Amino acid sequence: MNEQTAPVTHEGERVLFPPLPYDMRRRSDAAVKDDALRAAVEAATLTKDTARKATFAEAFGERYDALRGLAERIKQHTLDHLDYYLDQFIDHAEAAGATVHYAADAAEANRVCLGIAEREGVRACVKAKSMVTEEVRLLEALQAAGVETLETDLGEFILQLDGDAPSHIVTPMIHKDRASVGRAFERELGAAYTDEPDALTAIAREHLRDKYRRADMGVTGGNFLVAGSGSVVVCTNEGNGTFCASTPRVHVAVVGIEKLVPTFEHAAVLLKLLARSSTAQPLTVYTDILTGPKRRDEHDGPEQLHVVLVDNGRTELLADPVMRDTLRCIRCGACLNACPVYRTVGGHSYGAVYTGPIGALVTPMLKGLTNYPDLPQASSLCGACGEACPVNIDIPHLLVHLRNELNAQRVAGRAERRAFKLYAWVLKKPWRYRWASRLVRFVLRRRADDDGYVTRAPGPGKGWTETRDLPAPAKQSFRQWWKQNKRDEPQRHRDTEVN
Amino acid sequence: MNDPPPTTREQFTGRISRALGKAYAPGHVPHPPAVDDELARVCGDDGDLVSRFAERAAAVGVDVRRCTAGELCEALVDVVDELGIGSALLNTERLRQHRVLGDLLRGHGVELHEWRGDRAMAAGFAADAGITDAAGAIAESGSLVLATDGDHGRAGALAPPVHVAIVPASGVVADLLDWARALDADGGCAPPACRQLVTGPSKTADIEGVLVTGVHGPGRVVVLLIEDQ
Repeated sequence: MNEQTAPVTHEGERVLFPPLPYDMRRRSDAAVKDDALRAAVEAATLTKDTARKATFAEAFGERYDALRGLAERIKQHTLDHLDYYLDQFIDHAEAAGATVHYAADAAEANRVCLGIAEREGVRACVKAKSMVTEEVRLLEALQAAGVETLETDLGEFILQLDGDAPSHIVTPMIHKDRASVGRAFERELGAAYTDEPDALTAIAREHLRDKYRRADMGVTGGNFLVAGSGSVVVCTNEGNGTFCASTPRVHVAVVGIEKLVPTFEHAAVLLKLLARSSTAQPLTVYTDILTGPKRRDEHDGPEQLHVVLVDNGRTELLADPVMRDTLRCIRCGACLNACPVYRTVGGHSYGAVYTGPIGALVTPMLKGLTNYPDLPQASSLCGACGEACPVNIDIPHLLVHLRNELNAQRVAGRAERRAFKLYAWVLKKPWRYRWASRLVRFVLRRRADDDGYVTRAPGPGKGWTETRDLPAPAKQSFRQWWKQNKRDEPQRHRDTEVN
Repeated sequence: MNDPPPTTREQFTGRISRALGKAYAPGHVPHPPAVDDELARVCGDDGDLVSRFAERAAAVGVDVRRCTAGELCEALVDVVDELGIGSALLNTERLRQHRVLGDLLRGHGVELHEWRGDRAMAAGFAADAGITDAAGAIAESGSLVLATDGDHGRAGALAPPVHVAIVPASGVVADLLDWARALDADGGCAPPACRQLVTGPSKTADIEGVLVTGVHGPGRVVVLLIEDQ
């Protein structure tokens, strides 16, 4: 079984870790033309987006916006006092028998996990889906050190088996169809080909049950850390997270520091929002609250619980007065499902672990804005992401903020400076504006096709029409129309009065 | 390879304090935001909680059967016959009917796996069903509340393809908030290693969004809701 293969694209570069700086257009151009991909992603995201709205309307009705405000305040309060709550969490977790580790960056997170594996003589590891472990590339590090490591979330398992990479925060194989799963299982597991989701799931179930039993170490993420009790809260639908935290001797929970909440009451508010935002469920099927390793009188569960607290750039974010809001994110994926750009280009176009609107903010912040200059532009600023966010992150506003940062860093070219000078000159006198707009209208209307669209704009406009068509301008400008109608208006009024 | 020395707790939290513009972590902070029931509560604690739980649990795919304490044995035998359960992990020590249930199942030809010691997970993987009692339930979401201790393992509700949970009606709380507040109030006591909210059978929709149950955990969850206990 080819478990060592790192995810690659057909161009031979890593899907989530491409060479930097990353040029989004290279992938998004191809994705836009891939009708099957677009159809799959669009159908799945639209369904989820609709279901999300319906479930919130049913559960909270008019209160939903105020509830988002409460969730925002809870997360913001915890972030504002993160050092305090972190101290509290560590004290309680250690008192319950957990070992807490500190990872300043990705390399240290991996070193900590490898160190545990080495000390415990771990040979086989099962892993639940977790964004932060993908961020630090833990799977690769474990495999490179000779620890056989298997993803257990069905989607992630299939992707690992097929040498593919996740493309959505919650539903990782949204870009993949059932036939490719059938082929991968046939090739890598020796299973008879089937494309029935039920049968495919059963094959994975049998394969993974054996792995759970043999594994010495289980790795999970954590959706929340409860400061008041030292607990790690892990949410999964399949139960694979529970297996990873229950069957192996050693459980390692790798968690970003932004996951803290003060108490269970606060966790409950966020739990009410998390699964409803993700998949329109009241809660994920399994919500595990893990506090220390198994007690002496218990008969199953891990002998050791290690909590690896990961910083990896989050402290810098915390110090940023604007962008720190992104630390509130609970990784529900609602903004991806709501985003027309994500629906069109798919997750791999973002070239990083975090995709969609939130990824367009988080990725440049964690990996450098100049390394991902296209991501803040990959939005129409329609506002759907901000409306979908259960913790009120003003994603459109923050995207604009990053665009401003980019512009501040960038030196405009000579052509661009000249174009703006000309534009300013035109705008200074009404008659210049009138004649310029008349000229533009004339040129564009002549170039329009029968349907009234310009498919190739002239000169500097060419770039704009490369990936979209421009509707031809109206025959009459608004100013002309206004002049006529303004004169007509009082006339009509008088008529009605007479009648 | 020379690894840099590991980051210490002081270095780690110290960096966070400095990012927040402080020299060190403060001894106390302002009260966290109050959780307003008007906003966050979905299920009020008036009215028929048991019916509401039954309704919501059914909505997430749980097979709910209501019975009295006296009818429990009959209800359990029905489930065993219906689902063809030949072997089980019985994890109902907290219930006063525990001994009766064990005898009943054995008498009905169900092999009961020994699960104490380090055999719990092996028993779970081998059994057709895990029969457990639940610490409680939440009406809002239709969730079972489970907790581990010397008498309650993790395997029974996780590894077998069927999970039968016996829930006393008195353990049903209205809202997730009620459950969470009880945990917060429990502060002084040592918490169990694993608490679990189980909301329906194991689910996935990873392959083309098609809902499949029983991917890792049980594909079938049956709740025997004892109305007079």
